[in-house]
Amino acid sequence: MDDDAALLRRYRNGDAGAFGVLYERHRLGLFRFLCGLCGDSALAEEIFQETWLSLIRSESVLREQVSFKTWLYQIARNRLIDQWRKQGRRQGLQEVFDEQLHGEASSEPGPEQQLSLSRDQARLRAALDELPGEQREVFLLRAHGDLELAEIAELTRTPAETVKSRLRYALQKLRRLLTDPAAAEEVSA
Amino acid sequence: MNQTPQRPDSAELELLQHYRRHTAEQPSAELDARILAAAREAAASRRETRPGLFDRLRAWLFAGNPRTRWSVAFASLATIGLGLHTLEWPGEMDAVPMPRAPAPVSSYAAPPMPEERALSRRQLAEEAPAAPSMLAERQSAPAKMAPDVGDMAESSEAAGIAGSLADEQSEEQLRQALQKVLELRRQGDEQVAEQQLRLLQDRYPQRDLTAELERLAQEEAQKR
Repeated sequence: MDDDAALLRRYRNGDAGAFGVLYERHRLGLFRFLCGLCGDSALAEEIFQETWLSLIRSESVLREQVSFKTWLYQIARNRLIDQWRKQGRRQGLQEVFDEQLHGEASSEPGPEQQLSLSRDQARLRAALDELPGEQREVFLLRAHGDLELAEIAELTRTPAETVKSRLRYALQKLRRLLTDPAAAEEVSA
Repeated sequence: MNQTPQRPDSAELELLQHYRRHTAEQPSAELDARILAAAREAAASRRETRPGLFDRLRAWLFAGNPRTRWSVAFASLATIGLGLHTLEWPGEMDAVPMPRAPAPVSSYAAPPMPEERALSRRQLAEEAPAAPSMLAERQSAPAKMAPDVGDMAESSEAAGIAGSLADEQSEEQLRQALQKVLELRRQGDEQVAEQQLRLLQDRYPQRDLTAELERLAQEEAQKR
C-alpha cells in the first residue's frame, strides 16, 4: 500500500486514482475534526471543500519532515481560523483555560465507569462543546485525525508538554461528562 | 519527522474509540463527487501540460542561480563519466582469467542508505546559501552512485538542491507578494488585496498567510 506522500506525488504527476485513495483515507477524519471543532456542519463542509480544492490546485509537494496528514489538517485549521477572523468571531481556540474549574476530575475512572460512557449523540456533542477550544482541538486531532502528540504540537505550534496536558484535561473532563451514573450502578451491582 | 510515537493508555484509547465509534457525521455524496471531479479535472490538465524530461532539466538549469546549477550539472556529468570509465575498467580485466575484484565496482554501485541520503539533503539545504561552490562538490559525490546518465535530471539529490534553492526563492516571492497586498490595502484597494491574498493562500495552502501578513505589517510599522 502506497504511503500518503507517494500517492500525492503520483497525483501531482496526473494520476487521479491516487487522489481517490488519499481522499478515501482522510475524508471522514478531516470532516469529523472540522465538525467537532466548529460545531457547524455547513461551515465544516465549506472548509472541508476549500481544503481539498486548495490541495488540488496547489503544485507543492511534501517536505520530507512533514506527514501528509499533518499538512492536510493544518490547511483545514488555517482555513477555519481565517474564516472565524473574517466573521469577527472570537477565536474558539484561544479560550483561557481555568485550571480550578477542571482540576476536580483528576482521578482515573474505574472499569465500571469505562463501560458506561454515554452513546447519545447530543450528549457527546454537548460534552465536546464544554471543553475549552484548545483542549477540544487537541482531542479532535487525536480522536479523528489519529495524530501523535508530537504531530499535534507541530501542527498547532504548541510545546509538546502543553499538548499532552491539554489532552489529559480534555479526557478527564469528557469522561466525567459522559459517565452515566445509572449505568455505572447497574454494572457494579 | 523525528518523533517518538506516544502510545495512548487504555483509558485514553477507550474514550478515543468511543468517540470514533459514535460520531456519525460524514461529507455528503454531492460534496464527495464535487471534490473528486475537481481532482480528476486537475489531474487530466496536469497530464496534458506536464513538461518532458528535457524541458524540466532546462527549467532547472535556467531557474534560480544559473551559475551554480550549471556547475552542478557539469560536475555531475564529469563524475558520471569518470564513474562509467571506472566501471568499464574491471571489464577489460575479465580477459585475464582471474576472479573479478568486487570492491571497486561495489563502491560505485552500492545504493546509498536512506538515512545517508536524507542527511545529505538536509546538510545541502542548510549549506546551500552559504557555500555554492561546496554545493557542487557535495553534489558530485552522490552522483557517483548514479550509474545511468538518464537518471541525472531525476536524481533526488539534484531535486534536493533545486528544492532548497526554490524554497528560498519561494520565501522571497511570498514576502514580496504579501508586501504587495499590504500596499494595496494602504491604497484602499481592499477588494483586490483580498483577491490577491486568496490566490496566494491557494498557492501556499499550508501557510497561515493572514497571520504572516499581520506580522509583516507590524514589521513595516516598526521600521517607519
